[in-house]
Formats: sequence, C-alpha cells, structure tokens
Amino acid sequence: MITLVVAGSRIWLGALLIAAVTAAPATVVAAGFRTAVAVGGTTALSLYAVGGTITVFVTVTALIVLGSVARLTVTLQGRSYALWQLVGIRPGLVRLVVTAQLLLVAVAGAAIGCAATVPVLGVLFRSALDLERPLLGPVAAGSVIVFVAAVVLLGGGRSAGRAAHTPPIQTLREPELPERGMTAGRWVTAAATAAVLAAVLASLPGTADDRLGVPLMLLGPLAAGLLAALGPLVLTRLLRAWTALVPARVSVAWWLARETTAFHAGRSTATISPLMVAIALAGGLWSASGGSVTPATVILLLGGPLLLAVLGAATTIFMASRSRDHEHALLAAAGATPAVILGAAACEAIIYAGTALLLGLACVTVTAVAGALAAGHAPAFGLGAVLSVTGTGLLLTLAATVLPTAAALRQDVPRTLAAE
Amino acid sequence: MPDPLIDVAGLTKCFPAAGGGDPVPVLRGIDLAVPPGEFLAVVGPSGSGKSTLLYCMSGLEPATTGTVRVLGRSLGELSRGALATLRRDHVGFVFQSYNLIPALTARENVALPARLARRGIDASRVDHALAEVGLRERAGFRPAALSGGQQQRVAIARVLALQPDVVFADEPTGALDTGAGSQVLDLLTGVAGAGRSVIMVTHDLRAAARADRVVVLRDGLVHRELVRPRAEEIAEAVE
Repeated sequence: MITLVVAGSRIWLGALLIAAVTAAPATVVAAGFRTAVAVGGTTALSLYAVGGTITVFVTVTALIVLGSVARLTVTLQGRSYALWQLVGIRPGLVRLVVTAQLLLVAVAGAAIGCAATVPVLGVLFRSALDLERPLLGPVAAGSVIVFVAAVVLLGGGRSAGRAAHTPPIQTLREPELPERGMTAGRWVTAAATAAVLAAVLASLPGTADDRLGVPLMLLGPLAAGLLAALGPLVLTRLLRAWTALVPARVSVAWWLARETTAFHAGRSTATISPLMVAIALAGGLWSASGGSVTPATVILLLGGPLLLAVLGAATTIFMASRSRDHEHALLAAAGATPAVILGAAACEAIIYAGTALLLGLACVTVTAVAGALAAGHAPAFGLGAVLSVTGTGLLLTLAATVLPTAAALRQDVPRTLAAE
Repeated sequence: MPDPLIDVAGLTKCFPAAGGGDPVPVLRGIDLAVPPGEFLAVVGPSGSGKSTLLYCMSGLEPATTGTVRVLGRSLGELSRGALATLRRDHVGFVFQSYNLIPALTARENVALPARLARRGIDASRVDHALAEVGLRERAGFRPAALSGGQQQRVAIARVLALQPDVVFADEPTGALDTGAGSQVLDLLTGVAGAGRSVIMVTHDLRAAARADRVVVLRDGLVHRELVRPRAEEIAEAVE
C-alpha cells in the first residue's frame, strides 16, 4: 500500500510544490489575523482589512490553481489507477488510496510552505505594515494546513471518484478522459460567483471615490472565478477561435500545438486558468487603484497569489511532460524533425499564454469599465501590469514546454514509446 | 540483382547495464540486405534482438558499430534532422501499440506525413487510403474512438497514402484478435511489392509465413534464413 501511495514521483513533486506555494500566502494571512487578535485596537482593524483582501485573492487563486493541479494529478495517473483495478483492487479502495495520496501531499506541502514562510514574516510585516514581531501560533499554522488540504480535496476529490469508477479498459484506451463539460457543481459555482459579482457591481454607483478601491479590487478575482467555473464552456472554444487566426498551412508546428492543446482540454485548463488568474489579479489591482499602487502593496496583496498562479501554470506543464514526451516520440516516428517538435512545444506555450491573456483581459475590463462608470473617469486597463505578468508567464511556460522537449528529443524514440 | 533498399553490415547494438556494469550486447554482428519489393519477416525468441534490429534499420535507434544504409544513405552519418526527413519521405511505421497521434482524427493522422513534409495534402489520396483499409466512414474519429484493429488499419492507411519505399512493422498483429490480425496482414502483404519493401517483426509464425523471406534471430545473430517457408518450417528453425 505504501508503494502505491508514493508512486508517480514527477507528478506528486509538482503537486507538493504547489501545495507548499499555496501555504505561503495563506501563512501570511493567518499570521495577520493571529497578530490582530493579540494586538487589538486600530492596528488590528487595519490587519483585518488587509487580511480580508488577501484572503479573497488567496482563496480564489488557490481554488483555481491548486484545484486544477489536484485534478491534473489524478487525471495524469489514470492509467496507473486503471491497472490497479485490473490486478483486483476494488474501486472503493482505489478512491481511498487516491484520496490518501492527495491528503498526504497537501499536508506535507502545506507544512513545508508554512515552515518556509515563518522566517520571512518579520521582514514582510515590518516593511509593508510597519509591524514588529508578527505572531503565528499552532492554531493559525494548523488552519493553513487545513485550508490547503480542503482545497486539494475539493479539487481532486471528484477526479479520485472518477478514477475509481471509470471502467479500467476505457481509461487504458484513453488515459486522459474528455472533460465532462458543465457539471451541476460548476453551474452552481458559476451562478454564485456571478451573483456576488453582480452585487459588488450594483454597490458601486454612489460610492465615494476613496471607498471604491476595495470593491473594485474584488471584481478581477470574482470575474476570474466565474470564467474558471465556466471553463468547459469557454476555454476550448476561445482557444480554437483565436488560434485559427494562423492558418494550418502557414505552420505545421502551430497546427500541431493547436490540435494538441484543444484536445487535451484538462491539461490546457490546468495551465491556462492559473495564468488567467495572475493576469486578472495584477491588471485588476492596477485598474482598481487607478495606477497609484506602490510596489510594497503589490507584494503584500498579490505577491503570494501571483507567485502561486505563475508557478502553478509552469508546474502543470512539468507534471504532464511525460505524456507530452510520448506524443513527441510518435511525431518523431512519423517523420517530424526536431525543429518542428520544438516549434510545436513553443507554440503550445504561446497558445496557453495567449488564451490566458484574452481571458485575463476580459476580467480586467470588468474592473476598468466598472471603475470608470462609478468614478466618472477614463477606464484604466493596467496594460503594463497585464503585459508584465503575461510576459513572465509566457517565459516560464516556454521554459516548461521547450526545455523538457529538448531533453526528450535526445532520448531514443523506441524507448520513449515503450516507457508507458 | 537490384541494389538493396536496405543494407546492414556488421551491425552491433549494446545497451548500458542497469547497475552501471558492462554494456549488454543485444545485436552481435548482423549482415542483411533487403531488396526492393521484398516482404521480410524477422522472428526469434523474446530477447533475441528482433525489435532492436528493426529500430536500428529504421534509424530510430543508433547502431553501436557497423553500418545501416537505407536507399544508399548511411544512417550513422545523418544528422537528427536529416534522419527525420529520410523517415518522413521514405519510411512508414506500423507499431504494435498503434503509432497514432491521439489529438488528431484518423484522416489527419493519415495526412500527417504530407503535412510534415509541407507537401500539398491530396484529400482524395487520403480518403482513398482510408477506403482501402475500410475506414472511410471513420475518417473523422480520433484514435480513442477506434478499436485496436481499426487503429492499426489507420496506421496502414497512413503508409498507403505516404507510399514510402520501406515499411517497418513491429508486431503489427500483437495486440489484435485473429480476425483483425489477418486483415492487417492482408493489407501489409498488399503494401509490399512494386519496389516497396515491408520488414515485419513478429512472434506469430503464421504471420511470418506470409513473407517472401524469414530471418530467424537468436542471441543477437542471424540463426537461419528461410525463403517462402511454411509456418512449421519456421517453428522448427526457431526452436
């Protein structure tokens, strides 16, 4: 059983990393609230206000990024889970083991992330909030671990059930099952998020200019959450639509990347959604503040969520690189040159970043237009922030697609094809 | 006698030992020539080096020593790009595990080599190839929606559409039932001829008996060569 629980190291390492990175901003929030309880007074009030805003950013980002990573973690190992069933392990036990794997990684990652953040809490609170000696007790640290574990189980729990109850032969034939489309849970999440978004928008008219910042800041993450919930409805269609701008005859690499990213919708969603969140958060904050935001505020409010989102996007690619290697070996056997295969890997990263940019811009536009209507000034789209985050995301995803592909091209094709 | 399409001389192949010890020899000096139009089967016990020989002959695996010439070009002297181009333009593959790209439809998989070569895609040729393997009505399906036999037939349709000079087939019937396997063998037999050679590695001695010539490998060496043998003769040579 222990062997089963620790199988699939590359995928689990990615999940562990993202669980740890999720725990970092969660630890900052937990320390903020714990310190507020201890110090009281006006300091506590400002800590609650800042903590509340970061909580929204961290929660939305974690639900989308860590949830996607958890789902991908299970999906990528569908073949192994099917083989477990073929050797006689009951579906119920498969589900239990998968859930145990997710829980183990979530708790270990959260503990690592929490422990790694403690040494920087002092510096962060001193520079951003002018506060000495932030506190983090066992209850606050435990709540971080519970939060990360809950998000992982929320994201991966349904996939664990699916891994256990999909007929093994179907999984072996098609290891990455097609996206299930809009489930009832997604519709409920989308409706709830849309309702909150509408409520925030409705509250804006008549609000004083100096009080618009916080509600405007919430619009970006809420819009990102809505688009993430509507992912199966929006993502592949949008991806196919804009990538059709480059006709297939112009570039074989682009065509291959387009077909691959559209086909592997689960893999693509896991990479595009985090990038979209990063763009929506950065652009939304910039737009909500009218461009007057300081670097210290950006780091305090968005540092953790942005790091989580961008790293999450790159990590999902790293996690899926084995199945990507297999596809590249098939292309090589069909006569694709190394240049075409590397080009397809690069185009894949561009397609991820481009799709995320379009979705992220839609979120930023909500903030910009709502802010402009409420305050009566020209909309601020925060294009500098949007393009900086998109550029960083593109560089990381390029590195995550191209470097492993270049390494895989040095492997012999038969060995890669045999290593299923 | 025409020049051989493939000429193998003194081919050896060693793989690194798992524990870092001495390399493990798999092919120990193979000499083999395949003339145009020949259907050659390679048989032998597990571990005799059949698949490794196929991969070395197709340029998917580099030789340790010796030479492999395909269409007069020495594979060891070609860059990775040139090797890929040679495969794309002159070589077709049919693997046991169906070498189809999962994201592409059957039609797109068949047209892939032409697209990779940036040649104009002749839709009627692609459709004709799919019709020849009886899958024209399944052209829009992705591999996961096809049975094993159908996927293997798509791989053969790709070969038919590409019209390569040589086709390498590694256990093409290994994962198929008798009916589907027989269908695939009929198609492969039809591919050979008119200057096009087929080299097939198989455990199935009845399948091997369809070939013009059968090479029996044992311990990385050519043990016997049989011309148009019956399955019983092959079985005798393998034992």
